[in-house]
Amino acid sequence: MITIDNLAFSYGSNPVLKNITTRLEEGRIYGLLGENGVGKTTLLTLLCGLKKPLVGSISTDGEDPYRRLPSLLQKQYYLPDEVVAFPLTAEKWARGNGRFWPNYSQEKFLTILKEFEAEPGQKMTRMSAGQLKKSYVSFALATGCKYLFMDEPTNGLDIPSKAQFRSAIMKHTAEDSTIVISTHQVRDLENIIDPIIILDRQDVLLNTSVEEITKRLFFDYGTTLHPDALYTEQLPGGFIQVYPNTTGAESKVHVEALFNAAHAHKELIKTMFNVK
Amino acid sequence: MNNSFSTHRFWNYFLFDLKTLRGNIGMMVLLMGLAPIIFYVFYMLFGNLFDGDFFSKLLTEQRMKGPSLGARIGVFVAVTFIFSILFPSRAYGFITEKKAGSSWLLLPASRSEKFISMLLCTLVAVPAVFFLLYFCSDWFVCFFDRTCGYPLLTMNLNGENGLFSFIGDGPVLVANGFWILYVFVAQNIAAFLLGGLLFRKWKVVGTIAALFGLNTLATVFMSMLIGNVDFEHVGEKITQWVCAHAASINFWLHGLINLKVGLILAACGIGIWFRLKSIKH
Repeated sequence: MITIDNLAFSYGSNPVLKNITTRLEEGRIYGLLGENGVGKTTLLTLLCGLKKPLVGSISTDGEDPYRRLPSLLQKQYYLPDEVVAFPLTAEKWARGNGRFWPNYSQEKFLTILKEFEAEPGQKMTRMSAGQLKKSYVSFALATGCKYLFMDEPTNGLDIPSKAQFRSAIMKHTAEDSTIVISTHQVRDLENIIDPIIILDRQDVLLNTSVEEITKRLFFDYGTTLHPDALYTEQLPGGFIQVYPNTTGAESKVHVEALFNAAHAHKELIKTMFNVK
Repeated sequence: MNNSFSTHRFWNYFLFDLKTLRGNIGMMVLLMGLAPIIFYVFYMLFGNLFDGDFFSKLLTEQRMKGPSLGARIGVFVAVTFIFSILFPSRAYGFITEKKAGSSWLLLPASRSEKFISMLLCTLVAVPAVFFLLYFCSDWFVCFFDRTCGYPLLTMNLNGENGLFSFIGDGPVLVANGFWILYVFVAQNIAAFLLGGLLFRKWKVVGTIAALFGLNTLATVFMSMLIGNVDFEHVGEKITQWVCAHAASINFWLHGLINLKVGLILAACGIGIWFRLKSIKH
C-alpha cells in the first residue's frame, strides 16, 4: 500500500502540490486526472522516487521510494510519457533490462507485444512513437511489478492499440497490484480506472471509487434538463448531466463530465466525498 | 534482501553496464584505439602528396619514411588526452537527462553497485580496451612499416628514447612504467566523469571551466603561501630531507605522485557518490 502523508512539492517558488494526504490501495487501477500543470507527472515521479518530497512523506510498503532501494525498485516500474529509443531490438532491450525485475517474463513481453501487433525484432530507433510506446507498455506489464506508474500511456497509440492496452492491463496485471495511470485521454481508460483521483491546483479534489461516485452522483444521459445539475453538456441526441444521486439509482460514470463537475463545484465535491 | 550490495546483482548490473557502454561509446573507443593506423594512413598520404618528390620517388622506387616514434608519441598523448576528457560524459552523461536518466535511476540495483560498476568501467575496463587497441594498432603499424621504429608498447618511458626524454634536461620523472601514464589518465577521467554528472549541458566545456577556476584558486593560494614562506629556512629543510633520503628518493616521489592522484580520485569518487545520491528528475 502507498501512503501519502501531508505531501508538498514545489519547483523553486512555484508550489505544485500542497498538503496531499491519501492512500493508494492494493488491487486497484487509479486514474490520475487533472488539468495541465496541476502536478500529475510530479506526483508520479514522487511516488516512484525520482523526486524528493519537500514536505511530508510517501511510504510504499513501509519504504521511502526516494531512497531507491533495490527491494522497492524491484516491485515498481515507472513508464514516463516520453521514452528513450535504444539502438537495440525491442526483444534484446527487454531481455537485458528485464533481468533486474525478479518477476519479469520475456515470454509475457513477447505475448503482449504480439497482442499489440508489434514487431519484437525491430530496432527501437527505427520504431514510430506508437510502436515504441507499445514496447514499453509490454515491458512494464511483463515486469510483473506490484506497483505500476504510467504517465499518459495511451499517448501515441492508435485506436485499436488503445483497446489492446485496456485488455492487456486487465489480463496481465496481478490481482494485488496497484496501478496509477495519469491521463488526459479519459475516454481511453474510463472503463478500467477505479478509483478516480482528480488533482486540482496543489490539492486533491477527489480520490474515490467508481461505486462511491455513482452512489453520490447520478450521470444522466437523458434528453431533459435537470434543475440541480452540477454539470451539463449537450451530446448528439441528448445531454450528459451530473447531479446528486438522491434516489440511489445506478448510472455509468462519465469521467469527463465528472471531471468538469468537480472543477465547477470544488468545495461541494470535496464535502460530498469527505476529502480533507 | 541486501539493499546495499549483492554480488549476484552487482555482476548482473556490471555486465549490463558494459553492454550499455558498448552501445554508447563503442564506436568512439574503436576509432580512437585505431588512431595509429588512421594517423599513419593520413601521414603517408599527405606526406607523399605534398612533399614535392612524389614523382621522383615513384620513378626511383624510393619510399617515404613512416611517422617517427616522436610523432607517434605526440599523437598518442593528444589522442589519450582527448579520449580521457570526452568518453566519461559520453558514457554516463545521460544520467542527467530526464528520459534516460530516470530509467537508469529506477533500475533495481543499489547505489553502491551502480557506483562501483561505473568506476570499474570508466577507470579500468574502458581504458584497458582503449590502451590495448591503441598499442596493438601501433604495433601493427610498426610491423607493417619498419621505418616507423619501435612500437610504443616496447618503449621505456624513462629510457633514452622514452616519452619523458622529450621534456628536456629537467628532473627525470621517477615514476616509471605505464602506471604513471595510467594514473594521469585516471585522474582526468574521474574529474570529467564527475563533471559529466554535475553539468546537465556543456559537460566537457563546463568541466574544463571548473578545473580552470579551481587551478586559478590553487595558484592564488600557493602564491599567498609562497609569499609568506622563509625560503632560506624551508629550502634548507628540503635539502636536508633530500640528502637524508637520497637513496630512497624514487620511492618518496613515487609515493607523492600516487598520493596526489589518490586524493584526486577520492575527491572525485566522493563527488560522484553524492551526485548519484542526490540526482532527481
